[in-house]
Amino acid sequence: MPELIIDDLVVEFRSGEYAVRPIDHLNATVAPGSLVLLLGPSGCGKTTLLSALGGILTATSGSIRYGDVEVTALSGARLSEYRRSTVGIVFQAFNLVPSLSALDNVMVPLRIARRPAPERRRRTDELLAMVGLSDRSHHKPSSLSGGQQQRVAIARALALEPSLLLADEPTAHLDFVQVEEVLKLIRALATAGRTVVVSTHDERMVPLADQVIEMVPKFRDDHREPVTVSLSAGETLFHQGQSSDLVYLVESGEIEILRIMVDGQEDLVATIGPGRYLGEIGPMLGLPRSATARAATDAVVVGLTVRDFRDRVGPDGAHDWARAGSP
Amino acid sequence: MLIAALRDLQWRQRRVAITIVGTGLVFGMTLVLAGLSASFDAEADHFVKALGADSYLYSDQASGPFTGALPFSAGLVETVRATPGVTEAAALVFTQAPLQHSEFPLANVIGVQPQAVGSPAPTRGRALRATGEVVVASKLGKDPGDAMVVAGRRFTVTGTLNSTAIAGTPNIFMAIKDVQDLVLGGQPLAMAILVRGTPTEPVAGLVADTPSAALDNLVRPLADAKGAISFISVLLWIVAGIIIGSVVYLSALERARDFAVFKATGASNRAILVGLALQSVIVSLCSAALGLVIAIALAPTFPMDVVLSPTLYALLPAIALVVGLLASLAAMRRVSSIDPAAAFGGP
Repeated sequence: MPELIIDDLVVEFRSGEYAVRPIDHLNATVAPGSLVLLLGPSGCGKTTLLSALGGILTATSGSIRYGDVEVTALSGARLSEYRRSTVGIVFQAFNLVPSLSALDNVMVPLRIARRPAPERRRRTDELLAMVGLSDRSHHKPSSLSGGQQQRVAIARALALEPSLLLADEPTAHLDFVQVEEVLKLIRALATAGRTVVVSTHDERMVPLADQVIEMVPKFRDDHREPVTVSLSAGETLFHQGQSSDLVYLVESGEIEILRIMVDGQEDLVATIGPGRYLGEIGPMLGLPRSATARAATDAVVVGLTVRDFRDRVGPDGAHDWARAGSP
Repeated sequence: MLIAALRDLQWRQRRVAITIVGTGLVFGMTLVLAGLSASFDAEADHFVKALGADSYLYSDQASGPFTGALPFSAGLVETVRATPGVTEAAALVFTQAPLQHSEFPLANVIGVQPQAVGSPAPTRGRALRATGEVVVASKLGKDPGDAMVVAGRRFTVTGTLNSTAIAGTPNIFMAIKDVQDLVLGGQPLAMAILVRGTPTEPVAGLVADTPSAALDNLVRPLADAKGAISFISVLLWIVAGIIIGSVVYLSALERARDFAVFKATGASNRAILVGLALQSVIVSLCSAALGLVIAIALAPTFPMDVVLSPTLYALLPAIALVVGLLASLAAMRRVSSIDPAAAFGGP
């Protein structure tokens, strides 16, 4: 069974005029045959990482190695072959083809791989039996429940017996009964010796996993002593894309909030003066910094935890923050 | 991925049916127009063959034996008859005259020498023998023995045949002497000399044309009409292409997520595009088949002959195929650009 190694992976793309880096120097090693959770809130890069693992998205730098295959170096026919034969993907919204029956949906990868008709039929029957849907094989997705659709999607992902199964928020659109069905199935697949990588923001899945990759560092949301930081003019307080758990209060001087554009240019968003806060949104929502903060003059700022910040500003201040907060 | 393309057509059967009916109507109209245009040539060909001449001689100042013809002395027939290579020669006048008490206000009047080259063999009744007799187009609704008034003069119908020229105008054959009296003031003039055999020497003041050149001369007045029909046909092909193209493009937009999933699952662009082309081809060919049925049903109701030849039957699916494939290009372009990463993300 191959080992999955993610080495210093960076994925950056443009969002309008701005450059966004959802994955910033990520490192991880996944043991063969384990169930791995990519855990984090929406927008933290889970789906981006799954896309990169599946060979669907090109990394900006770094590498992904799966056994002997350098995934990030593949292109053209070899990349298509990797997608077909090594990877199976379960999509968040099931993504079954509405005009095809459950049977034909599961058969899609087998047709793409030009498997002979008898083999296609045998394999599809096996898979539908495995996910407990033999009696629904001729039903269209619209006449299947969410859980049943997701099980068909899992059967489709397994059609070519991939050794790496990627599942994007597989329980996002399911009720609790359906969640149980799907999680049991996913756990069983990993137990059978297949590496399964699941992206989720649902921490209830953690006990099922063999390994958890936190896509956003967990910060302690408790009271800590404020940290005073002195900055010289031009010195950077934090960078766009960086994760941090502190909200800053400007005591003296001025801090510029700069958004980094696709072409590397900096766009001045705001200048924060004494008595004002900056950098609230990232720590509050668990997101990376959406802009860079740099001292325009010599400045002194005080770093506060989110809890301290909320204690200081009170309910009204929190309301003001929601309207005019900075990264 | 052909099965996915076929299933998708079934899935969208109502939309596909509406498209096929709409495009079929357009194809049907196109076919009728093409048949109409072809009928101009077909009737001219039929007319020229009925005259049965090997060569047409006419004034060297005229543009042809039928349209743009100039009168010359009918006495030249004797000179032509004496020319080496000529086995038979007869004078002809081609003109138009008003009809009284008829649904057709105008007829082509063809003056020929009875029982000579140019005098047609009717399908009912007998051929011309003398003055005062006419052989008329069956569409005039006359029977042998009926009276017929042409340009105010009464004639007796001796025979009928299927003969029209210049966009369905009925033909009336009569003795050349009668035409000379009707429209040439009784002068012994001719506008062409029909010849059997091939004159090997030129005749002064006359030029010779082959039957095919004579046919071109006969259809020349219809050139603009044929051009307009061709132009409308091209517009209709474009309309058909736009209907098919729009439907295939819309379907492709709606199936963007499906295509992303296919690509993420390792399907090549080519396999997906072939499926899309197959959809266009199926819709086009079904539309062509329906268009054929519509044209066959519409043709008899047309006031003019519509010649639906086997060539047209064969051409329609071929052109429909090309129109369908061209129409799917925009959708193919769109589908080619779909990123497999689009398979991720919420509903």
